[in-house]
Amino acid sequence: MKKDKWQLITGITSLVVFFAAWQIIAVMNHTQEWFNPKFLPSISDIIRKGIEYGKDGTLWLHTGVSLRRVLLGFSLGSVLSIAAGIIFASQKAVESWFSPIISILGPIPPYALLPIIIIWFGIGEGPKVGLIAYCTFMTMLPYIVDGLKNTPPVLIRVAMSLGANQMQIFTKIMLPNAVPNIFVGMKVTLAMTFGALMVAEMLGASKGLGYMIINAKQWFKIDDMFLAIIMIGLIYTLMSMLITRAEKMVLKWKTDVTNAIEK
Amino acid sequence: MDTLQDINRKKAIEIKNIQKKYENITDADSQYVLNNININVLENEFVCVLGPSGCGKSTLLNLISGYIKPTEGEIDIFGEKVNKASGKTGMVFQEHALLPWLTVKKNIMMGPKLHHKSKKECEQIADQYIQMVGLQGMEDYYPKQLSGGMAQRVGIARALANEPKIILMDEPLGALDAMTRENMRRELLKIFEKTKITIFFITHSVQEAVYLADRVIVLKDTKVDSDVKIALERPRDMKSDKFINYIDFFEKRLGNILVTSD
Repeated sequence: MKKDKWQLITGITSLVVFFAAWQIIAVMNHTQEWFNPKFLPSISDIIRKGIEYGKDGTLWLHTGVSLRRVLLGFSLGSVLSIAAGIIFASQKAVESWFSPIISILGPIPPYALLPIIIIWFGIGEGPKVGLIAYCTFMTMLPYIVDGLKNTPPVLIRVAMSLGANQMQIFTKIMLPNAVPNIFVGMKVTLAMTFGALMVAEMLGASKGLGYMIINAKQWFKIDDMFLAIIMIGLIYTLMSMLITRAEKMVLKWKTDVTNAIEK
Repeated sequence: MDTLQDINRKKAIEIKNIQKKYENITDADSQYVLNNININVLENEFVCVLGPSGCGKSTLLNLISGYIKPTEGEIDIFGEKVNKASGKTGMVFQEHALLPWLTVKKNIMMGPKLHHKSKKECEQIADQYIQMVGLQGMEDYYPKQLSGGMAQRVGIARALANEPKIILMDEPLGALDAMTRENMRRELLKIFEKTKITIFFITHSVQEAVYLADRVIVLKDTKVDSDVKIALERPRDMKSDKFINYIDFFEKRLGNILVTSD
């Protein structure tokens, strides 16, 4: 308990020091001009910008659009990869046909695919969400297949000795056994999902935080860029916290540490 | 040798001329893991199989449970040939093998649940066996929170809750510390007397075998070396001369092979 508290204190202090240093350097740079003051806006400038855009609605428009895309793409990609993982793990033939294709497509970064996607499917919402879902799917799939396949054989034997059929072995043993892996996959994949979101919004988009950054670059509005970057960071942190919370709830059996005492 | 009483008892397990060899072993002499094994286990009999590591004890257990198939021969469970793994023979594993994501009670309920019994019935069965193995109050703990002895009680209760006529035990007490182990031996005998179940128990501890079993079978060099009734009343006194005579006998049968007797 004491250790947790200490960690929280150091965590907050480190952030405060970081932003304070930023603010001091930026303000001093305004007068000293070590480098072009426009390159590094102060924290207070960024906050001022945030309030301004918050009032006229620009900030909520772009944040809302990005949030929608990332939520849709992430959920769609997760659901599809869990479904595909189940099919791969239970149908060996399907896996041996599809896994070579997936292993050659997997390493291709989404940025490389975007121009083709735009030519094929246009610049609507569908292709953008599709790209995000695709990246999520590709990253998460191996975690799910691994989790399903790495069931300890002794647990399968337990189920067999109790008279379980193949279907029951799958639903009662293999699937629950894969849940921790699914959560690890989700957390790792989230970074890829946000990468894909940025890519999708930087080419052929007119809304969203990625667009806000690209647009600000054209007008040299560095405050806007930092504001968008901070918003991305906030959404990411929020989503990752939600996943961690869900994980703690679902995997209570893993995190509960109080030991039973024999009477 | 058989008494009249024994002749009237049903045969629970009949192992007839079992041979098992593993294909990928190239050395011609060592390819048989089990050779010409014949064992009969009667209903409500407690049989211990004793042998050094690698003598084929676990293979024998896997054959009886139907998890693997013999190269030659046949195994019958209450007159029916074993074809594949089924719920007929319960199994208790050395490494307790509880499902970590289920609580004690839900682990025990697993068998009845797999057979689509009503929730109420499953809970009743679970409660009954929780009581039998002395785990009242532990129902909602997860396996990770249990000590080795408690976890193994759950493993035993889970096997019993499926209500098989035969329970196969693969060194179930092997991973426990000496004190817990002795406790569990006594508990196991209580359960055996209460349930009238047939137990086929594998161990490498001579003392454990003589303490527990109605009959001890020594497996050595892929064959049945000896098959001896333990004519001692329970509870057995491990310090009595007769007990020690049995120990000496089995240690001699096992020869130079180092046997751990805790």
